[in-house]
Amino acid sequence: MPITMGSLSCRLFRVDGKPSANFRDTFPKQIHRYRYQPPRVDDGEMRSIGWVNPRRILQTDIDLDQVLMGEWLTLALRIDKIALNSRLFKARLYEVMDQVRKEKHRDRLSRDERSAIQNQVQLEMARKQTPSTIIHEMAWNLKDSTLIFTGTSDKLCLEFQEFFNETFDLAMEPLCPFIRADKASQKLKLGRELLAVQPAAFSPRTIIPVALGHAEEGE
Amino acid sequence: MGLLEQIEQKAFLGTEFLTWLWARSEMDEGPIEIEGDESIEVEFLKTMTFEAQYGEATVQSLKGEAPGAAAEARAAVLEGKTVKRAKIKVVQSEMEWTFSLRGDTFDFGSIAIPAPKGLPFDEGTGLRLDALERLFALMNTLFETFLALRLDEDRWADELARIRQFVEPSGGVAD
Repeated sequence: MPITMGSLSCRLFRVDGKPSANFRDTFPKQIHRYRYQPPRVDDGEMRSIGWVNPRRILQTDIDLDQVLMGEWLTLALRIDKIALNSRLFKARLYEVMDQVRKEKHRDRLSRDERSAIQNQVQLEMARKQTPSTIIHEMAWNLKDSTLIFTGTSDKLCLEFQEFFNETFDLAMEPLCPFIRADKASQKLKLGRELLAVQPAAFSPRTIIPVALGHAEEGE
Repeated sequence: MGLLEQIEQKAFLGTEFLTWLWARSEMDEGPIEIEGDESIEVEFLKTMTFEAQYGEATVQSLKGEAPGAAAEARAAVLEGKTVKRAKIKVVQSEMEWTFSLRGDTFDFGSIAIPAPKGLPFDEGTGLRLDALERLFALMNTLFETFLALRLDEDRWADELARIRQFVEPSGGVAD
């Protein structure tokens, strides 16, 4: 669900630090370095990740003026993955192993031979496979350091954080309840109270964990 | 205590915030007054998920036109659950957003952005980002309003008493 159209699902982040004053010179190089490139199957790469232009997702040569909208830098993150069907892979693997055994007039193949065949079959199948693609977008407010990312799974967000950090050499933290509370409590001068706060009981009844005995008891 | 540990341990503040927001929207039946800002109308729509940290049934989902107004919502809180996720409508002056919010992470889902369609890319995206920024600022203001109450022992005790009275008006005792 992208930033540029339709409804949107996202996690918010706060980027630690500001872009350098000459970011108009440095960002294009940094983005270009980490642009999307298809997985290099012949090198054993089954997955690739990189930046594309959110307005033209097939475009990897990104012009900063096209992705900079006022204070916001918008980029799309493309992740391609080649996944082989395990049943087809095993079937093809056994087929090739049978063939090799017949050619070599042997009943058994060595571990190295089996491993080489496995790699060969994987490569052969991966070359024919179209990768599955997911595209997420980010919008980074360069002025106030807020960043919107259109992914919410923890694994994806962690990978995004690392990739962003590699690209721009800036860390970020998700604006989860504690981080938000920490910032707000500093403003309210309630930092000590925040560290001491414990879960509240909204129910007027005393709830006792089942493991300890009764589910509920009257107050 | 490390930051990650604190993030994990204080995640309850997010679900408590949603629980407080729900209670406020139901108890006051009107806009929530914000200091130095325009009041905000909040309505809980269609789906609400409640969660408890213990018990035999820890997750409960309510679906319907107005789950926030249902007796089942109050019953869930009475059983010790807090609101983990909810679909919310927020209105401030002429702007209206609907979205789902997950309390423990503060992830936003399916935000319907109040921005005109069919505009050129730059203009359309710019307006969408402005509308999003305003929503995030509003939610931040609401969270700060909650936190100011939550971290003030006396004010929070009063607020909690109101909420407890709301979830069990008779003040009865459990079986």
